[in-house]
Amino acid sequence: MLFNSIDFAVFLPIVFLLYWLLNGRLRAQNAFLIASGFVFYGWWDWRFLGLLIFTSGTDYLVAMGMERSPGIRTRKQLLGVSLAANLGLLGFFKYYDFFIHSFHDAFTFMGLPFGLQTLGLVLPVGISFYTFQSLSYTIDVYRKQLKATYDPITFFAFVSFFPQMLAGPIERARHMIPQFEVRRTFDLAWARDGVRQMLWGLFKKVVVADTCALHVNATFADHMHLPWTTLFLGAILFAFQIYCDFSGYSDIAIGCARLFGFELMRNFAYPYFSRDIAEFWRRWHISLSTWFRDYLYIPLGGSRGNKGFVVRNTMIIFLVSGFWHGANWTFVVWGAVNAIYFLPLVLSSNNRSHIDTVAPGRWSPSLSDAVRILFTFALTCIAWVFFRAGTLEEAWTYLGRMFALSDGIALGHIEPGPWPFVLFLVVVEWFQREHQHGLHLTDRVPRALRWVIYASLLLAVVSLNGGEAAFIYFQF
Amino acid sequence: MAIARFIGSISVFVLGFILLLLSIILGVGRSLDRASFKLPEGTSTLILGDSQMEFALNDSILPGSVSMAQSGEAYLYAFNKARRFIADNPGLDTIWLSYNMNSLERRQEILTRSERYSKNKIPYNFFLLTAADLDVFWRQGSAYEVLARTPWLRRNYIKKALRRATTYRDLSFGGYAHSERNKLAFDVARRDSLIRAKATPPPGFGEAKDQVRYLIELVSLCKREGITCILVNTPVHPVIKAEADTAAYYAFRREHMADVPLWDHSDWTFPDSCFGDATHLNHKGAKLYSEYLKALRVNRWEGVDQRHLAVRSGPVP
Repeated sequence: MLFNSIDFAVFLPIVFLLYWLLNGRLRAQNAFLIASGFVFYGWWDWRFLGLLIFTSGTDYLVAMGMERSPGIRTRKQLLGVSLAANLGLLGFFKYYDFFIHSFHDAFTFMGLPFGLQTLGLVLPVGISFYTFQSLSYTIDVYRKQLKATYDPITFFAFVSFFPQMLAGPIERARHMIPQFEVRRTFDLAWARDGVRQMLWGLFKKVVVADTCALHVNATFADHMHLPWTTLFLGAILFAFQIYCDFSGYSDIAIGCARLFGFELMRNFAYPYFSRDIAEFWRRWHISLSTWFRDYLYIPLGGSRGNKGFVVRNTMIIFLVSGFWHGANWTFVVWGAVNAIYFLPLVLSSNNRSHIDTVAPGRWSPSLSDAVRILFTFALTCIAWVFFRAGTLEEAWTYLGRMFALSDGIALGHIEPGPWPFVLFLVVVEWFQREHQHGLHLTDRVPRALRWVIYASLLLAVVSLNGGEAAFIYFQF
Repeated sequence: MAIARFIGSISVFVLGFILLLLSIILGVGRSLDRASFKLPEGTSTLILGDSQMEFALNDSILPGSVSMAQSGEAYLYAFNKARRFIADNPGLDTIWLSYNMNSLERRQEILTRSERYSKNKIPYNFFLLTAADLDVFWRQGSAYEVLARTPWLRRNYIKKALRRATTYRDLSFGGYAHSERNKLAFDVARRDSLIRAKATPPPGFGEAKDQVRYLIELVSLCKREGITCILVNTPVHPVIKAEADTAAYYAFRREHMADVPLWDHSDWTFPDSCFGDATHLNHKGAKLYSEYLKALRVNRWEGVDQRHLAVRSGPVP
């Protein structure tokens, strides 16, 4: 089910009302959340519910086994089972065809026969998200950072919590499971802010991302014949499309969870106001970055060790992160490009130069901050071209034509369409950058004005909702 | 009771918003409705129908005729357009209405019941619909979404309407479409391969319920208003007839509209250069076809080979 669909507009109020009618009966509420999560997921294709149940069931049993077994050897073996089940499924559905295709190309290039065929597998929606979320649970139990839960209802409610099961934020078991174990109370201010955040997320997705998508698709499809100015603007628009699409989803998920009394972790913190790439990666897809930091980078040794060691770990983390996004070399190169951006900072120990919000309490950034922000944004735009292109060849051609200043300064066919929305977004988010989301409003703003703002945003959403365009990150 | 307060304020907001949205849509609808539907002086023939008519009849060649045919046009919309044009133009005496080999096939139900078509029709036609038409849409979630998009989709019209008097020409209502398409060979090869593979589903002619209902209503409207309704089947490539259920096509007319003339030109032999694809004429074909019809009309349908213009009441031999 898509957040920007009529189905969800009907589903959410029903689930909300029934959920709070069960208030006071914790297990019943959690069981109801499981049922809602299954309906939400099964709305797309109920057959893939089996995968969700299989991975969750495996991790539930594995964690209990680890809890009961004092021996490190058994715990390791059980963790191996969890890793094999989760990563095995993910690898099979997401990467099998990719590797077969790559091996086929390599064998053909060397003139050797290759018998295996691709299977044309359909990628189950959200598999990269719920497997990572479930894995965080078994790893934390293995590390004894979390006690295994013996209540299957609590555990399944955690894995199938519908606001974030399809595209994150990728929650940690130690943050979420305790929330499922205590009685929730309805907090009016909390719920109101949740609805505001949902509205802001919808605005970002439907009005900004989907409007940008029309122009981005046209630009990438015809990049061989368009002047560099159009390609340049297309790359910028894609940067806003991907940001608004994904952070819009996260905003809706976080806001929606608040309606049910849950707090999800922040996933985006105004990344395009970052002053260097390290700050960008602290503000972009925070739940995935911190997941890789905690479960891959630190176990690999992190930044402790000689420079070669740091380079190796940084490259691994960015390449794996790129590959996580999709079975295509374009994502791997996107990860590599970001690693190249990041390495000078980490090697010169400047990767934590900017950990606060830019220009706190001021209307405008300093000149040097403004230059840094623009430079960082330009770097990310270049990297996004690899992320968006269908093939590496397409990405190189796109960038080649863009930087070769093809066809002079002709403006090509980019229309003004999405730019007013992009500008509006940038201005609003700049002034709200010290808050959790762009529509944070206090009670000091008169109610009439607040309602005019809500109505205007909602009007833009319903007017521009072009037929439930899916969220980009569903494919990951 | 925090939750009751929350539900209360959300409900008030949602209700208020729905009312606001409805007023905007009704306002836009009223503005569209106020456009002039007066056809040019001397117009006696209105051309209605789908893309076959839209591409085949060049009304600039046919004096006294105005084409309002449009791609993907369901009879529902053609009927409502006809109602309005007849009411506003007492000089109208004839309607040429598209009736082709697939107009009533079961799959044509999508013309009224799918977002693919309704997103291009509802925001442009909703103000013409009556309460009687609502049963087609009330169960279609996408129809409400599309309707909500009206203010945005019609923003150019709204700007125009605010500046000056507007006419039906500003409504994106249809008209002759100059086609330079050149996809006949590709289309014929594709259709041939489908026929050979017997992959074409049975057409189910006459099973598109909404299409049938509004075709019959349109014909009845013409009778009530004293308008001559002529069904037109424009020239198509022979491959189309091969895949169509021609027997059902003629049988339907015989059974439901036996007294309505049918100009069946589907087997006219046109050179390949006149087709944009197997179903549609291009601008060369439109010129040729429109000039034929013009000559026929100037000669009061006499002195010209009329074998193909015969009112067919039986199946094609």
